[in-house]
Amino acid sequence: MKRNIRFILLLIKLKLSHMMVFRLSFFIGFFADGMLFAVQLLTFQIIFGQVDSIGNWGQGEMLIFIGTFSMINGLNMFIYFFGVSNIPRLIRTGGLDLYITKPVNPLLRLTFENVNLGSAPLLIFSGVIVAYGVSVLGAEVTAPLLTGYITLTLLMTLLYYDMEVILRTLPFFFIGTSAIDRLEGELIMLNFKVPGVIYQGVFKIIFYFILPYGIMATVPTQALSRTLTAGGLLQALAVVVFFTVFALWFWKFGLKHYKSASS
Amino acid sequence: MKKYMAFSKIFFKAQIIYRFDVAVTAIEALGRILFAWLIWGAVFAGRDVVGGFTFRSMLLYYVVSSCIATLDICFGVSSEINHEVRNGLYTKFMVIPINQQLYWLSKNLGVVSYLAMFVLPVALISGWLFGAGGYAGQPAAAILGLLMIPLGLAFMVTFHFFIGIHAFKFHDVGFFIYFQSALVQFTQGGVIPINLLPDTVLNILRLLPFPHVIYTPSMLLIGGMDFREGLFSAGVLIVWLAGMSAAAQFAYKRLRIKYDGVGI
Repeated sequence: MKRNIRFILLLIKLKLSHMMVFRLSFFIGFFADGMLFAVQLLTFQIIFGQVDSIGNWGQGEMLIFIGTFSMINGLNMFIYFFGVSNIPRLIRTGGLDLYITKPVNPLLRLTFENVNLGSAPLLIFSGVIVAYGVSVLGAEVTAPLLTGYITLTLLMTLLYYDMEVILRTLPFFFIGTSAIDRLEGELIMLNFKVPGVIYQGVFKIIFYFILPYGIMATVPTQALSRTLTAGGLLQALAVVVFFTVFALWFWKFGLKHYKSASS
Repeated sequence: MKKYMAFSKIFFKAQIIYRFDVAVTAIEALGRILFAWLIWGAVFAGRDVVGGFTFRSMLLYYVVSSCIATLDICFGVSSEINHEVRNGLYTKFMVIPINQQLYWLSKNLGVVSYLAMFVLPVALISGWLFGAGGYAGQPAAAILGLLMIPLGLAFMVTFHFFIGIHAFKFHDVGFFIYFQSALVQFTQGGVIPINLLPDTVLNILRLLPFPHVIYTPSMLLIGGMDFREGLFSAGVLIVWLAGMSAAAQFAYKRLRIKYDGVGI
């Protein structure tokens, strides 16, 4: 464990040195996603200019929802996105050889080798949106509630990671996966905009259990607005545990099918 | 003109190789319509009209606007130019005796023509699937709306060409490409109909080209805007297209001499 932490810190240090070469690119992730969320906020401000509620949610819940999804996405960009997104290219070009021959878990290295500190401001921005949402909602935030919210947000970031790893493990079996990447992007964008509480019937099954993007920001939002039931919490935890176990198994299974550059 | 038509044909044919990707791109429009169906379904619960739209006319707006947005693949123009310039590979375009701007326009024409073959059935199927409303406007306005689609797409290609060639000077314009993308998409009316915005903002936006790329043609095609208003918008778009073309030509002549390419 200690060795892994030392390794992660070394990867971050290396990445920082690399980022200093392309200083302007440093904040690309932040501005791209920052603008996306600013537009998202504006969109819902306009909708709430016309109506009082969407589903059972008012403006406060919606602001917390947007801030939470922005935070999960910020953590994703900050920690692992740029590393994990390299997996299909490495599989296709045989570059994964360099990872599996090193005396360290290849997934650990891939996860942390492209940490993007430029996304850090997005986390602050998201925190401000969440805080504003709480004030609009008029909710009382106690220390246990805040701890619960943070824990759930981190768990949902893990779920986001699981989904990314699962989808990027598919190139072990298929050559062309750009369509899968784009469909993933569309699904994420859809769930950034549509709160999970709106889903009914088949959409609820799809976005809560099969492609669980629908619960990622919804569950922490429900926790903070005190509308999360015990059943809902247990269900969300079960989904996170299942997808984490499955992602790790699927990655190992995929590695066994890796054909390498030289074979 | 013949050589540019040849480019269009080549890129049209090239899309056949990537037909699965093209089909997925077209199906992406369904994602936006699904969003509209879910979110506006919740908004319209217990209400008949929101911002002048009924639920069915709102869905029709999203069906049409999503399909036009799917045809707007101009983001690739600035990204590709930026990438090629940054890697010193733009030389391959500069050594051919062509007008750069017309090359990118003809390339996009080829790709978009192929994409349109998938987008049209998606529009019809999704309109039927989600129960969108039917057309209820003037035929002249609908024809104007159809004519404005290629004009708007041509403007977007020129706009992205203009952004892309600034990589000659700044070496990497990826920062600006990403920065403007969400904002432009919003002002185009690709996220929500912009007539839900306050009047002051709307009056300013009417003078910009972006709303006339998606919002205006969509409104003309669903019967939500009259012909005279559409004519004014078309005029604004034409003026911007001419201005942006001139600016892009001028910028290319000035900036290309700053390029350090491979093989030069």
